[in-house]
Amino acid sequence: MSSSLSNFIAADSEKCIGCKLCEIACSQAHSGSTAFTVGALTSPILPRLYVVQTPEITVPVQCRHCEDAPCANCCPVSAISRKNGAIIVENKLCVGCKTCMLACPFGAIELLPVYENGKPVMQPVLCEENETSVDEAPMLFAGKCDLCMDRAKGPACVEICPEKALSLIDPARMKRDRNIKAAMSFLNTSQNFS
Amino acid sequence: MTKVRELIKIDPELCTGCERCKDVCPVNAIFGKKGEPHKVESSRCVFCGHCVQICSGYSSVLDEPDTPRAEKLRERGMFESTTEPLFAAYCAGDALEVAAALKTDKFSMVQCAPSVRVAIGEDFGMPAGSLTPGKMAAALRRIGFDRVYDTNFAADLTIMEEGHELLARINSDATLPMFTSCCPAWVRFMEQHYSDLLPHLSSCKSPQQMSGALFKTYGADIDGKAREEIYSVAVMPCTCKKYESARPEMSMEGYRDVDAVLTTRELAYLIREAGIDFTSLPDEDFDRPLGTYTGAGNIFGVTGGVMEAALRTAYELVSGEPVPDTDLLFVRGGEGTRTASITIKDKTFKVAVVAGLKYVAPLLEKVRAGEADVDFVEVMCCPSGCISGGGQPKVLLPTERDDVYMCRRKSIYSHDKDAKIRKSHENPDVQKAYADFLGEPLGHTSHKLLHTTYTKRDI
Amino acid sequence: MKSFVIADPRKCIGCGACEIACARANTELSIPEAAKLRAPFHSRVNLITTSEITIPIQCRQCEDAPCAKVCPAEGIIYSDGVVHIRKENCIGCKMCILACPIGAVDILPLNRRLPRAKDDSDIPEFYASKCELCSDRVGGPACIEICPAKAFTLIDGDVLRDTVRGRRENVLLKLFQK
Repeated sequence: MSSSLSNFIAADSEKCIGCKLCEIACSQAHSGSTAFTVGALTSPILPRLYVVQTPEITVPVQCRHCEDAPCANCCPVSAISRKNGAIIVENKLCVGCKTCMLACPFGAIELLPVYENGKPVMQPVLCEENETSVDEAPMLFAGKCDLCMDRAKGPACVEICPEKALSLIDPARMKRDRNIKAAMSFLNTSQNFS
Repeated sequence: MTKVRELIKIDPELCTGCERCKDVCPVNAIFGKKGEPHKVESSRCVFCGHCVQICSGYSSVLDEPDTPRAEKLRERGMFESTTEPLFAAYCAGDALEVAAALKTDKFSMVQCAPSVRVAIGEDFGMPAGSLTPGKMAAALRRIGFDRVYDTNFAADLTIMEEGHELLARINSDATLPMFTSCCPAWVRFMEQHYSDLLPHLSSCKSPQQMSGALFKTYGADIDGKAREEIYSVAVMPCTCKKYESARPEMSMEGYRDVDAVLTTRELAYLIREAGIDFTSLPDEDFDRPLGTYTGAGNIFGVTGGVMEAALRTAYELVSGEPVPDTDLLFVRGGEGTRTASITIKDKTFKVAVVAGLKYVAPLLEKVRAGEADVDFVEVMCCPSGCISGGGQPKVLLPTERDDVYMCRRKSIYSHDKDAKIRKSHENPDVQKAYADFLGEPLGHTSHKLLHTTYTKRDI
Repeated sequence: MKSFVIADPRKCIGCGACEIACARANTELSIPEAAKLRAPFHSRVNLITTSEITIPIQCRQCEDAPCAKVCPAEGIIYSDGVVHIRKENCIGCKMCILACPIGAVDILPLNRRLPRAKDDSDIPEFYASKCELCSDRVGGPACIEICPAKAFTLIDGDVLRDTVRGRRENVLLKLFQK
């Protein structure tokens, strides 16, 4: 049954050099814009994976596409669901309640501003100082890794990494491969195991 | 020794210590421990800006660093209105200074390098390599420049001077091979590491400096201005041109040939700051006479371009016949070293083209040993020539970089192909400048304005 | 030291009885009932047959269990001498699959049509599963019991210690004989 498990992207901390190209490629893949130079960018770099640097380790962290996704389970507007083997946020449904950010054990979700045609989408909100006047604030949504489902060449972060530190993991296949490797390792030893 | 301006810097708050910049630095000027912020040592640095182009340590809006963005923008010489993301490696810019100077009553003259017109459109969302000389000229006028001239004019002039210098060296058995001197990072590298070979460098100033020298003499005369009234600006694909313009050799009687250099990216900031919609600008012409150029002047922007332009003219100067095919495909190419030879009237000239500073050392060692079998060498610090310069629009993803450079290159060559005049010595305004002002190539005025000297520099 | 079950590839005949026994031992259903309900077959031991080798692979109850270390939900703990999955905590993030070097962990979907044990009321839709030495089974690990080739051995702390010591003595003996 494990063939139905969702794929996810994992990074090898031994290889990661912390260059953040994965973040930039991720943002580009989700920007919907054709800008390819820094100067032409009309929106900030908004990634869905995050290079974390501590004195001990440097590695990007992103969504694991949990089978019982806590983010999806707690979403009050059912904006998060499994589609084609990935946990996907429906931007239009998201109300920015932040519950999913709290629920995710990996910190894989970040509230990001919605951009359309290079401009932030604004929404009328009540102004704090004067409760009767209406002000505008940028619309936010829960941004997270969607495995670049709509991208022909697959996940942008995996493609760009200069150190090949990121890979798309098929958990069922990985489990099977490791079973076989473990079995084969018995061939290399003459020791009696019983 | 005067301390050099720290042009290329790394912001310690943004640097993650990934060391990709260290890998591309041709002169090992970047220091630091893996995983920790790195530092550029300016005394070693040739200011090529390769690190600026490759750096991906950006400042995230989700995680603002300690120093506020406004302060960072000021440090970098950028307008507060600039919204683009900031990266750890950067070139300290001059956009603020130029914007302020344009508000004064100085008479401003500007020149643009060939590579700027094939790249600036990219920073306004146009396709890679969009050829926009007309929009660029229009934008510069609207920003407030009184005369919009072109570095390509001086590139044609360079060919006249450098071509004659080469022939003179060959005919008088003087120091050979002769190396081009258009690339300031290359010149600085020679002064730092191979000062014994400095006599091999052409004494010609770069096109930027030739233009600047003419702005404050010939150009000033045309407009009836005094030298001190002129504010001379160059727009360059190159970060090192800022260093070149500040060299004490590049001034006359206390007046710098070029007062300020903007990179292609900085010109884009100025255009945005002025509220100009670049993509909908009409095409306008450069001003005459210092804005008239040939196809040969334009190909200075790609590796092999100076060589090709020089050979087109040298062929005709030596043989007195037109070159059989204007497209000298054998000197064109990409990153690395290539050699070729051309026979002109019983004499065979051996030439070499080096693209990328890190490839030049073996050739220089041969020259040192007296074993280099070559007459004329073009060296450019950047891997594809000036189109891939450190001041060009920064391509976000390395996977797209080669394609973008290819598009810029194609535009440079198509601009040459479409030019009515494709040989530097046929530039009518260059001919006029010699007739009216300069006299003859390598003449007294040329020597004073268009040639320079080099000195050993400590690291 | 935690006990674990390991098989001898020279004895294993690849019959698959261990997988069936394991699946049966870890469900409330009898085989005919499971067949009638078309229950999915979930064995915690994985019989691997390649052209070179035939051997079942299962959890070794690692002392520094990497699966437990990476679990973000405190879903894998040491309990009753085994590395134990707390199904109710599992969120199906697959980090344990990524961590296990021998591929001993799987994530299983809950089948709502099947009857469940009383204490299994909080099980999520997906949960991790792996060999826990049939710790609730009176007869001990089902795989050991069923194997017609006697290929499985339960290695407990004492067995391991004795084996290691015996081998050290063997080394000395061989040195002495020389």
